[in-house]
Amino acid sequence: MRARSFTDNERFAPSVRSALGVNDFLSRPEHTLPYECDGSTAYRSAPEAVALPRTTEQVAAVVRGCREAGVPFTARGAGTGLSGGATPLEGGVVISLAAMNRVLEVSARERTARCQTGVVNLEISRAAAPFGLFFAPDPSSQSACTLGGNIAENSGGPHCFKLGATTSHILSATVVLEDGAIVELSEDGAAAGLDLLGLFTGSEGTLGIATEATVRLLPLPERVETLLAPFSALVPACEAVSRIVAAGVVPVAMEALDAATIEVVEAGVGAGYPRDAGAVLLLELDGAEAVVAREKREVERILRSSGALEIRTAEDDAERERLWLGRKRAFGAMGRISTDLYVQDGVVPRSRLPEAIAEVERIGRRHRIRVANVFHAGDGNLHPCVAYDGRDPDERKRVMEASHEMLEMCVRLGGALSGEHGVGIEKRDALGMLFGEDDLDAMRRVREAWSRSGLLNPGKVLPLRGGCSEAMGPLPGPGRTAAAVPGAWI
Amino acid sequence: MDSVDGVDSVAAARVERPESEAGVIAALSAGDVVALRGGGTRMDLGPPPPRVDLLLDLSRLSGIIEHHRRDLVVEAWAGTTVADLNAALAPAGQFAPLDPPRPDRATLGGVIAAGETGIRTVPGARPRDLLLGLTAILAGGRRIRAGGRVVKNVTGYELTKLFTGSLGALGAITRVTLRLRALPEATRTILLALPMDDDAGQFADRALDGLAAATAPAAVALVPPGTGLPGLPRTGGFRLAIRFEGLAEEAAAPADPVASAVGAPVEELGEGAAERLWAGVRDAFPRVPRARGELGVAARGPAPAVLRTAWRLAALGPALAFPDQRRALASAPAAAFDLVLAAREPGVSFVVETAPPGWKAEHGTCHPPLPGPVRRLNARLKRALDPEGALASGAPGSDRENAA
Repeated sequence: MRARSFTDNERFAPSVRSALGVNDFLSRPEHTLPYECDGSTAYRSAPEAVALPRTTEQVAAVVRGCREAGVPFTARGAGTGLSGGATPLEGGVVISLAAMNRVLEVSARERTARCQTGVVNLEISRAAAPFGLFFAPDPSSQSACTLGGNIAENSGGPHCFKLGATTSHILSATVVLEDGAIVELSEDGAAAGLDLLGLFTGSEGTLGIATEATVRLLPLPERVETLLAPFSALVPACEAVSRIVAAGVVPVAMEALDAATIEVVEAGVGAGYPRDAGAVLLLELDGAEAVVAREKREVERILRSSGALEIRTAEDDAERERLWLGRKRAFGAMGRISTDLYVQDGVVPRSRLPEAIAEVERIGRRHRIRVANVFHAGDGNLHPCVAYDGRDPDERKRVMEASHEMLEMCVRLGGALSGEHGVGIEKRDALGMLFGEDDLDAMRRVREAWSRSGLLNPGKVLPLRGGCSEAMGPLPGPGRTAAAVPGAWI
Repeated sequence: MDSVDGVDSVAAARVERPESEAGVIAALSAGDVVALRGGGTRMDLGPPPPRVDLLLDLSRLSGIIEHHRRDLVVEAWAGTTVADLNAALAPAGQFAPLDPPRPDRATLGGVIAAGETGIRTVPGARPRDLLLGLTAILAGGRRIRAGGRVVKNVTGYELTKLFTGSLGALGAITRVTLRLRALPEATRTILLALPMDDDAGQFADRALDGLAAATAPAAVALVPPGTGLPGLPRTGGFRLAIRFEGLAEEAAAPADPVASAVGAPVEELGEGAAERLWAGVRDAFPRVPRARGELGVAARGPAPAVLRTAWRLAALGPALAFPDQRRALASAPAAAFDLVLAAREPGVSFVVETAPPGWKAEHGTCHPPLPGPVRRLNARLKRALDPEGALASGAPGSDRENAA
């Protein structure tokens, strides 16, 4: 890690500061401290300064200033990420897009919105709603997270099961490259250059900084049905999900919560989930009236034959919102049962969900840890959530071992290490579990083609050269619950 | 595509047809300048290479490796044709919604390398939406894997996207993993004749209002009268063709809102006629007769601007527009290229896909040319994965530096 000193700050501060308004450059420790981490509080490293640019040109000027001074820089949206993507690992300057938070234009006819990337995700759908349109990516943190963060992480959310993750909904983006050049990347198809936008989306802030983007909007559905199906246990609920997928029915979302999660949700939020159930599935169907009616019959048939104890349909928007509130607030509610929480993000093929969940339970028992499950079942995206006491070194060790085994299980079943939280710092050194040296070398070359100086969000995504593989980052110590950070929901 | 064994108008010194990945690795380790070919249907895309020693034909690398039926995912050899893949998946009630020109010849690897967006609406049916993972052999013979076989995955950089539309410049795709869909229970196509006296702006607005009024269309195309597709008259104005597919209830989507938005009556096409029409739409544009001096041009940009551009291009030759894809295709005499350029609305970019021999070297493929920093990024990415330039194709979009 680079040594930091006051001299460094002196060296770059004038060139960076001169690009910004007087109040848009923070360098006093009490002002920069809040930027030392994102939602994954295990990794902390305070920046030397925070820039709050208001225009693309200001972002470019800050980037050039950092380049000239040889100071690392890291972009930040709302800081709700869960893998350390916005944590300034090597200090330097955090470039916060918080002041670039406007929806610039909604075009109803084109079904697009042009936005600054510091805009909060939910604000895009709010601006589109009067035109009968919405922005599809809906991470659980959507009332706090920003479009720029969504682009950086290729964020998902419950509705990406049917509608695709962020990458499917970005038409173009204005990006400041490492040398301060401002480019417009767009999906222009074959022979118009490589799919730079596709590569950029999900690159976790290591290839450039998006300052504006044109996003695709979709028409609000004519009909929405939200169903809640309690089961005696999580495994049969997962079997129902696998059967719905295999039948080719495409609900817009399929979410699963286990008994431990139901308990904390009901105590905290009161979403109306049955407290005696072993698990619930929350399903949503949307589309044309007749289509939804048909799909609902088919889904209900599969749910019943898979052992659903009952099927409840939300009667109105208020009930629908309440059912979703339980899902979206689940992680926050877990603060009730534990001071510390570690959330994973592995993925398995949908047909392997029942055995994956059974294995998660076995691993938890073997290591004597408490695991709650609340996850995007339709995508096979698991979120085993481990509650632990950070003051107990032995328990922390057991949590790490169990987490590692769960990731190994995901890989063994044909899955992946991260479905939506990204690699960041957290899984950087675990990438070797999934990819070989040649695969990682290709990724490294691709990154170096964009960023030669190594100053752009250093230390993220790829294992450090010569670093140990098959290891994960540190686990939060006492009182560093990810879910306790405002806005850090999954 | 011409019958020459080569890329665009550049002939290869020799051709090899490996039957295994090991054969591909050997061919890419020998130090030749290598061009790649799947079904050979789109060898004319992109800037032509200066030279080709070896044309590596990957069509024998074919067949399904594993069909994960309950996950609606398939892994197949990249030389498998789209038609063969879908024929093999049909008994399971599944298909890959790729629809490149000539699916009986187009291979999965080729469709991905060409970034071939078919006729279906987006997002959802482009190669970049369907491709979950791939295996590729890089120049020098190293094998890499990118992505995986799960539908949601943000583990590392999305190299799958980089290979999509890479035109064989970065490596030889040998295996692909795709997400699948359930075969539609029903399909239905409606046709609307747009008024002839519209100007470009009215035409674009009317077409987009029609599209907005259609409930979840599966494919939308605008066909000018001169394009001469099977079953369409060569007289009258533009036709708006809309296909619905899926459950019977989806295919039965109401047409009245579309009719009133467009201001034209709806014609229902029979199943056979619809199939012929969409096959015609799908296959229309690789057939540009470049030997007779024709250009094949793809236009992209904001939908209204693309439609206004297509309206003008249709005066120069056959054309098609896909409003939801923000894309249009047209052909025009190379001699009329000034008129082609004059048809371009602000915000629209042209890619000349096919051209008479020598034309691209003189004029370049991208109009306007990509901005310098973007062109340099393309070139650097090419060098990152193929430092010696052993793959014949240059970085797509980077050719203009050598042109006037």
